[in-house]
Amino acid sequence: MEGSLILLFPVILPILAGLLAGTVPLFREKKPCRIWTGCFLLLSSALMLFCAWKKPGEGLTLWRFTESIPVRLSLDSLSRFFLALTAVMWPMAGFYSFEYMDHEREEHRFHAFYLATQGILSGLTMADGLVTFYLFYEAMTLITLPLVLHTRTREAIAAAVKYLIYSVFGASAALLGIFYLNHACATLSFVPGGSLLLPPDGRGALLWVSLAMILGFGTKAGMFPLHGWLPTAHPEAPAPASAVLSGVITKMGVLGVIRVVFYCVGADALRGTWVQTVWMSLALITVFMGSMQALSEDLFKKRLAYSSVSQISYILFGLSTLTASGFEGALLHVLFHSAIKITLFMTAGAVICKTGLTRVSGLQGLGRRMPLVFVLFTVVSLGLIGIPPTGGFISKWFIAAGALDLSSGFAFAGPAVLLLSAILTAAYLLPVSIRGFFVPVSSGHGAEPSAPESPVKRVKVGPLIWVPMLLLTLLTVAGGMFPDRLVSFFRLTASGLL
Amino acid sequence: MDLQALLDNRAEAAAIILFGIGLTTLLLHRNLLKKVIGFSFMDSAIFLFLASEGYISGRAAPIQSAASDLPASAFINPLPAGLVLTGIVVSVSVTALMLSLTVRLYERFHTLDLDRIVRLAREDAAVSVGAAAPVGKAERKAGTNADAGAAVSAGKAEQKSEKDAALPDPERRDR
Amino acid sequence: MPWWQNIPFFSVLLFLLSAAVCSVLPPAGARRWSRAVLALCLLFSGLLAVLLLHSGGAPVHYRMGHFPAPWGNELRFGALEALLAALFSFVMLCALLAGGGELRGRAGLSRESLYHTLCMLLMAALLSQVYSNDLFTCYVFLEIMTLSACALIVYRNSGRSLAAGMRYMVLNMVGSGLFLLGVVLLYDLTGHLLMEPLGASVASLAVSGAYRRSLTVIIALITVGLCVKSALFPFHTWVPDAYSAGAAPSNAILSSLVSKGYIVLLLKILLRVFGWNPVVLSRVDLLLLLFAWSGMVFGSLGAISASGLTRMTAWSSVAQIGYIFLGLALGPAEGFRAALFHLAVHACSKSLLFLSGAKLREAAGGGDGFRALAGAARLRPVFGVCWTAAAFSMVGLPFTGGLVSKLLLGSAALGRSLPVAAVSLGVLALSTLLNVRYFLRAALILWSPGNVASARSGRDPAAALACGALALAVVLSFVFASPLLEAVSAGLAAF
Repeated sequence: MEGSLILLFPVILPILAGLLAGTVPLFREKKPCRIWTGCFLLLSSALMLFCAWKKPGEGLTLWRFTESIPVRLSLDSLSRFFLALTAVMWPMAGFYSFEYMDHEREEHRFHAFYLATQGILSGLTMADGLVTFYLFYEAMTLITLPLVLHTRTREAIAAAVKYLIYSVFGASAALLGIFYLNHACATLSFVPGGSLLLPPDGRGALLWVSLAMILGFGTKAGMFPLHGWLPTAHPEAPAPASAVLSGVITKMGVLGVIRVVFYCVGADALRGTWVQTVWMSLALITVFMGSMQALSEDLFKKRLAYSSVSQISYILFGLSTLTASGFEGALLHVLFHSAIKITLFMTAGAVICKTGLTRVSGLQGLGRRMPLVFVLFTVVSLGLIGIPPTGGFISKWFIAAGALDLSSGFAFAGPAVLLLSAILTAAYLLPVSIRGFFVPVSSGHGAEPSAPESPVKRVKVGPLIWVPMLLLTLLTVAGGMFPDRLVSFFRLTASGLL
Repeated sequence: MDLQALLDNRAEAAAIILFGIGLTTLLLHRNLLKKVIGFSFMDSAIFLFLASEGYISGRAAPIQSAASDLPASAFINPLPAGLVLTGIVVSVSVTALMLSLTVRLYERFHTLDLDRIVRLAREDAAVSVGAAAPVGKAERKAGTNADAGAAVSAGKAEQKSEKDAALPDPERRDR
Repeated sequence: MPWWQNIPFFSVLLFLLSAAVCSVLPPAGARRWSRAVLALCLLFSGLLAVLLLHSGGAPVHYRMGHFPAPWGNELRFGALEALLAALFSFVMLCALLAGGGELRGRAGLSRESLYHTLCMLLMAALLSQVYSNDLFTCYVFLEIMTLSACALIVYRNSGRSLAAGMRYMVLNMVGSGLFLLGVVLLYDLTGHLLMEPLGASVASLAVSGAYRRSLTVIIALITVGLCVKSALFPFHTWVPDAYSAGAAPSNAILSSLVSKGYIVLLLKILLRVFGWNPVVLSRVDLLLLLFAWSGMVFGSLGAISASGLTRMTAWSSVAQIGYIFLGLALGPAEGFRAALFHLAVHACSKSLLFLSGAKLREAAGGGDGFRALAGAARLRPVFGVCWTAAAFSMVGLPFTGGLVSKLLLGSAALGRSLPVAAVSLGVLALSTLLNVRYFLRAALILWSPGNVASARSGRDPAAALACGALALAVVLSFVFASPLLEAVSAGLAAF
C-alpha cells in the first residue's frame, strides 16, 4: 500500500460505520441508529468533499492484483466531480430517509447498507483503472440490492432479482471488454484521451468490444435495450432508495461509459464509426421511448422511473456526440438530473408515507394539503422540462449544441428528439402539479377509493423531508442562474479528452 | 489391412474385441450382474493385451536362479507380468465392491435392473423429503422413512434398528 | 539429500498407515487421529512448497525401490505439487471438521472409524496422484481413490445413496477402463511407464511422424477416460445423484477433491507425457473445448432446474468442471494457470457450499427444498455468510477468488484464435449470468425472512471454524492473487 492514505478514509469509514450499524444490537433502536447514521453520513461526506477539493496529487495503490494491474485510487477532475456529487446527494436522501423509514420495518438494516454504499461509491468514483472500477462497480450492485428489496415482499424480491440479472449481465459484458482492452490498450489505468495501441486498420474487434462495454455500463444507466430493470426496481424500493438509485447509482453507469470511451479507448477511435451511430440512435430511442412510457404510466414512482430512463439517455446522447459541448452538457445534466430526480422521488415518497397514495390519478387536491412539497415539485419539474432559469435548460442547451456540431443527420434529428421529449416531459410531469393544485378532490377519485376524505386538513411534513428537497431545488435554480464556474470546470475537463 | 497382420496380432485383436464387448456390456446392460461381468471382461481383455505384449516367443520365464547364468536376452519381459498381477488385484477389489453393492441393492429393491433401481430410489428420496417437510410430519408413520433409518443397518435388522435410530435424528425430534 | 525431500513419500505412507490405524481405533480416537494427521500433512506440505519455491524451483526426483530412473518407480515433485498437497489436506481437514457432527449424528458409532479410514485412504491416493511420476502407479491409486470415493457415497447406506454409488462405479469403471487401455497402448508403443522417458519417446514419435494414428487414439483414450472420471459435461450423468446422496462431508470431498485428483493427473500427463503439440495435432484440445463450453452452459441449466439446494450445488459442479477444462483446453502457460487457479478456488468454495449448506439445512429442519430453507441463513448467520461468500465466488463476483479465475480464463482465451476466443468469452458471460440466476436466487431465499421457527440451538464451533477458514481462503485467494499466481506459474514451469 503506497500513496496518500487520506483517499482510503472516505471508502473505509462509511463501510465500517455501516457494518457497525448493521450488527451492534444498540442500533436496533431508532434513535441511536439515526444519530449514528446521520453523524457518519455527514462525516463521510465531509471527507469526500475534502478529498475532492484538496485533490491529493498522488494516488493510492491498495494492492497489486496481478503484476500489471494495480488496485488503485486516485483523483482526476472527473472523479472529483462525481465524488463531490455523491457527497452532496447522499446525505440529502439519507436524512430524508429518517422520516420516510418511519413506516418501514428494520430501519437499521436500511441505514447500514445505505452507509456502506456511500463508501463503495467513493471507491468507485476514485477508482483509477478499469479493474478497480469493475470491482467497486460489482460491489455497488450487490450492496444496493438490500436497499431495493427492503420491503421483502414477493414483488420486491422479483424486482431485485431482475435488477441483479440486468446489472450482472451489463457488468460481465464490460468485464469481457476489460479482457480485450488489457491487450489492446497500453494500460488499464485511465489516461485522458485513451491509451489505445491498435493501428487504425486493425480495429474491427475493438469497435464491437466498445459497443459491448457501452451497452454493458449503459445497462446501469438504463439505456435501451437493457433499461428494463429501472421501471421494475424503482417502484419496489423505498423512496429514498429509489431517489439515490435514480439520482446517483445510475450515474455511475454513465461514469463507466465515460471512463471507457474517453479514458481507455479514446474518442477519436470511435468518432465517425458505426458504433457512434448505433450509440446515438440507441440513446435517442431511449430518450423518446422513456418519455412516451412515462406519459402512459399511472403509478407515480414508475412514471418517474421511466422519466429517469429518458433523461439519463440525454446524458448518454450528449456523450455520444463526442464533442466538447456535448460532453459539457452531459456532465451538467448529470448534476442537474441528479438533484431534480432525487427531489421528484422525495415528493413521491412524501406522498406515499404521509397519505399512502401511489397513483398519479389519485393525487387530486393534494397540493393544497402539502403545499411546500408540491411547490418544490413544480419548480424542479420545470427544471427537468428545461425551462430557464433552471439548470435543466443549461444542460440541454449544451447537449443540443453538441448535436448541432455534428455533420451527420443527427445534427437535426438529435435536437428534434430532445425538443419533442421536453414537450413530453411537460406532459407527464405537469399534470401531477395540476391535479395537486387545481383539480378538486371530489371529482373522479375512483382509482384510489381509500383516499382520505378530509381535503382541507394539511398533512404535516417534517423538516427532514422538506429541507433536503428545498436545498436540492435551490441547487437546481442556482446552478441554472450561475453556471459559469461549472461550465468552465467541465470545459477544462473536456479539453483534455477531445 | 491384410489378413496376415491380423493373424500375427491375434492376441491383441482378440483383446480389443473383448474390451469392446466388455465396455458395451458395462455401459448398456441394465442388469447389475451383467454389468459386473462386463467390467471383468474389460479388465481381462487389457490383461490379455499386456501379457501378450510381454511374451516373446521362444524365451524362458524370467526366473533367475543361482544355477542358471543365462543372459537377460534369454527371458521374456517381466514387467508386463508384474503389471498384470497388480491389475488383477485392483480388478478383484473393484469387482468385490461392485458385487457387494449389488447385493445391498438387491436386498433393498428386490431387482437387479439399474434403471428400475434408480427410479425406485428417486421415489424413495421423494417420500423421505416429503416426510421431512413440516407439512407431512403429522401423517407420517413410523418406519417409512428409509433414508433416515437406513444409515444404521441394512437387511433384515432394518425395521428394528430404524426405530432406535429414529430418536436422535434431528428430523424426528419433535414427534 | 536434504531431509525435507522425504516429505512427499512419508506423507503418502503416513496416510496409508493411518488408514489402517483408524480402522481399529474407536470413533473418537479415529477422529482425533485423522485430524492430527491431516494438520501435520498440511503443515509439512506447506513447508515443502515454501522450501521448493525458495530453492530455485527445480523439481526433485525421489527414487523408490532399487532401480534407477528409466526402469524403477519414482516420485517427482516441485512447488506446485506441494501446494496441491497442502490444498487437498486443507480442504479434507475442513470437510472432516465441519461434517463431524453429521457423521456422529447420522450413523451408528461403530462406523465412524471406517469413515476416517476411507478418508485417509483417499488422501493417500490423492497425494500419490499428485506426486507419483509413474503412470501405472497413478492408475492403481486412481482405482483406490475411486473405490474409497464410492464407499464414501454409500456410507449413509440409504437406497438413494446405494443407487448413486452404483451409477458412480459403472461410469467410473468405464473411465478407468479407457484410461488403462490408453496407458497399456502407450506402454506398448514406447516401453516406458515413467513420465519423463515416456514424454521423450512421444516427442520423438511426434517428430518422426510414425504411429500418428495410434498416438491420437492413445491421447483420446487417456483424455476421455479422465474426463469421464472427473465428470466433464457429456459424462456427468452420475454427478447430481452422487454429489447429493451422501453425507455432507462426502459430497464436499467428492466434488472438491476426488474430481480434482483426476484433473491434476490429466494435467500432468498432458504436460509431461504428451506435450501440447501432439495434443493439438490430434485435435483433442478442440474436443475438450467443446465439452467445456457445453458443460459450462448445460451444467448451469441443470442447476437452475434443480429442486433442492444440495442438488443445485451438485449440478453447479458440472459447470465449474467445465471452467477448469476450458482452462486446460486453452493450452499451456496461461490456460493451465487459469485451470489450476480455478481448481484451487473451486475446491475451497464448492466444499464450503456443501458444508455450510448442510449446516443451514440442519438449522431449517432437514428439508432440502428451497421452500423449507427460506430464512435458514438468518438462523445460522455464520454459515449463511460463508455460503454467500462461496456462492459469490462461484459467480465470480469481486472480492472472491472466482473473479480472478474468470479474469485468467478470459485473458487466456484472448490468446487463442478469434473464433475460439469469441465463443469462450461468450460462454463465460452466459455462464456467469446463469450462475447469478441460481446462486443469487438461492442466496436471496436463504436470507429472506422465512417461516422457519424451529431454530435448533446446537452450537458447532468446529464447523464454524472450518467454514470460516474456507471462506477466508476464498477471499484471500482474491486479495493475494498476485503472489499466488506467481507461485503457480513458477510451479507450473517445473511441473
